[in-house]
Amino acid sequence: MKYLIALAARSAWNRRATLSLVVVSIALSVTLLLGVERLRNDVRESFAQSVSGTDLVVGARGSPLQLMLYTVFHMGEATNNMDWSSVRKLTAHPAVDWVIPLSLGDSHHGYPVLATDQAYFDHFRYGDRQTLRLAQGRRFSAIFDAVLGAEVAEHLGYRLGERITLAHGSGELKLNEHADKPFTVVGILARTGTPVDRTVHIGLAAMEAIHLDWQGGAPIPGMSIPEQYVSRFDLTPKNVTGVLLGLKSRAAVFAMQRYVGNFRDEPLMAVLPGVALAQLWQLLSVGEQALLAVSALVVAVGLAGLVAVVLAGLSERRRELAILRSVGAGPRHVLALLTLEGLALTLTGSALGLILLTGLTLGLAPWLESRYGLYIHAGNLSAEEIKLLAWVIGVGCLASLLPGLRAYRLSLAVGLTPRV
Amino acid sequence: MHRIIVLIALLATAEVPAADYKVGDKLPARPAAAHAGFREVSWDDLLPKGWDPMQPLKDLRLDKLKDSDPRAIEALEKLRQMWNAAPINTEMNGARIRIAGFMVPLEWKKTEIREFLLVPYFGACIHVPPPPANQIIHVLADQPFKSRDGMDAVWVNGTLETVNSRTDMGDSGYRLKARLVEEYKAPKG
Repeated sequence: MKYLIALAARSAWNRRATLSLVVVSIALSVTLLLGVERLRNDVRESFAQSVSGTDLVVGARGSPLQLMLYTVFHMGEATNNMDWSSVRKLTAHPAVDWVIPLSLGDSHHGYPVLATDQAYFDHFRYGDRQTLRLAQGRRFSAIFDAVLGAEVAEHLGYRLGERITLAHGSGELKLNEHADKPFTVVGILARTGTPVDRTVHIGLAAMEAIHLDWQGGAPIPGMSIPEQYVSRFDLTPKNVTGVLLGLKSRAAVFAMQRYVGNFRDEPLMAVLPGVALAQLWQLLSVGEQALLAVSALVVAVGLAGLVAVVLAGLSERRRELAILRSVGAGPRHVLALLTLEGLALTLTGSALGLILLTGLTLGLAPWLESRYGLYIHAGNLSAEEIKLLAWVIGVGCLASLLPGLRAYRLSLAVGLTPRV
Repeated sequence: MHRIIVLIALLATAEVPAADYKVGDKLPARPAAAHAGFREVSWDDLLPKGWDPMQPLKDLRLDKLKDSDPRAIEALEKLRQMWNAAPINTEMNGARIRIAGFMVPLEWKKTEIREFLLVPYFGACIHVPPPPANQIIHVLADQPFKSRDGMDAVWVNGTLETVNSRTDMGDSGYRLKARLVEEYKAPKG
């Protein structure tokens, strides 16, 4: 067996040019397959991490998934706002433990601005029921105070005391800047691995204040209320995008959902975050399956290339195999030799693919994180990834049997009687 | 080589597709049996004895009523109220039970669920009106359950607690500390 491995290795080294190409194609296909699997898993993780301990998300009636995506993940846009009086009624409801109002719409250098109140710091949970923690500074208290997510502070290089201006709407254009009312950074949150990191947090009153001269949906020409006089006006919010609800008993969630659904004053909707996530999985699974199927096909193509190269190599190695036979190697040795070669190529390809995957995830992770808020991990293989890898190696091993079997049958008969 | 073939065959059969359920589907009942000290119960066992929300309707003699009869309207309203303030069966407190139902996920960790509501029929809360409070179990599982899409049918083994808080809104309910959550398989035969 030891000689066989040494022989296979030397023989392969002789044909290193072709074989290394095969290894590269297997490596790339393995990278693709495992990359898709990892992306799929980590996207789920990113979403599932983002909300915990919230019983219901309440907002204007529309698509449950859209409400969830907008309020929790800050993706897409809201269909409508809900009135502040409804928030007050929900807060007063006996089954409700806490309410976090959320008001979205503005941005800072493309990062969403979230207006909320102190309940956000008290009750918001992510991951496995972890609370938000301030890495530096304090919560917002004055009107023009802002608390930054970790990613915002790091990417834009902000420190405590920095003066920032917010822009109306999303996007990085500075067209509609609330330049006359700058905010002061008073706190920076610890990293959470959720959309919170990419968010600028301000108070609800501040949201009202910066829109005082925007009564018509756009800045009224010539109207400018100086910063120090904003509190002369009523700064209680008129409406919010949505609220997160915590109940005293989680089993009451259906009853509360129905209460919100039948709300008299305006059409509202309550969504169970877990159920909305389940709907998201169902939606994503179609695309995920298609991607996985395509990458599985690419792996099949890679392995077919392996078989083709080894098979094609058989004719050029006729002499080699015949000599082996003549010095006493049995047909099964020839079979083992070729299968070993195929297996070794698959293994090398897979290993290279893993290295490539790790390199890629390490290289791309910061960009994916800052750009899309997705957290892709490098390193540890998950159980699914190991299963997929086992599949690739298993199928590679089976595929290597093909040239092996062919050589098994032909090695002696053909090799010793060359037709020139 | 044979081993590898067997391995691949095993991997291929590992994912058996589960049955598809339609909205409102219930799981077939099975005669009571003990499973490692957990008594199998049905959803009807969670209703207090003698509680029948259909009573107001049963008392009505529909053939004797006129169209849009106030008594019919009143009976329906009474039924709705009884349904909303559904009492729980306090005798079940501390019972070690095994029960089958559908999952409504509360907390996700990737594809795993540790906290969920167990309800008697499929599609509760999304497509059809939710069940009354005494037909909802808030399950906290020791071990996370790996879910396909969060709407799985499962067996749950655990100790049932009745939570009784007196607010006007169906706050009382069942909580189950689950030792085991497993995929539901239809009874044979």
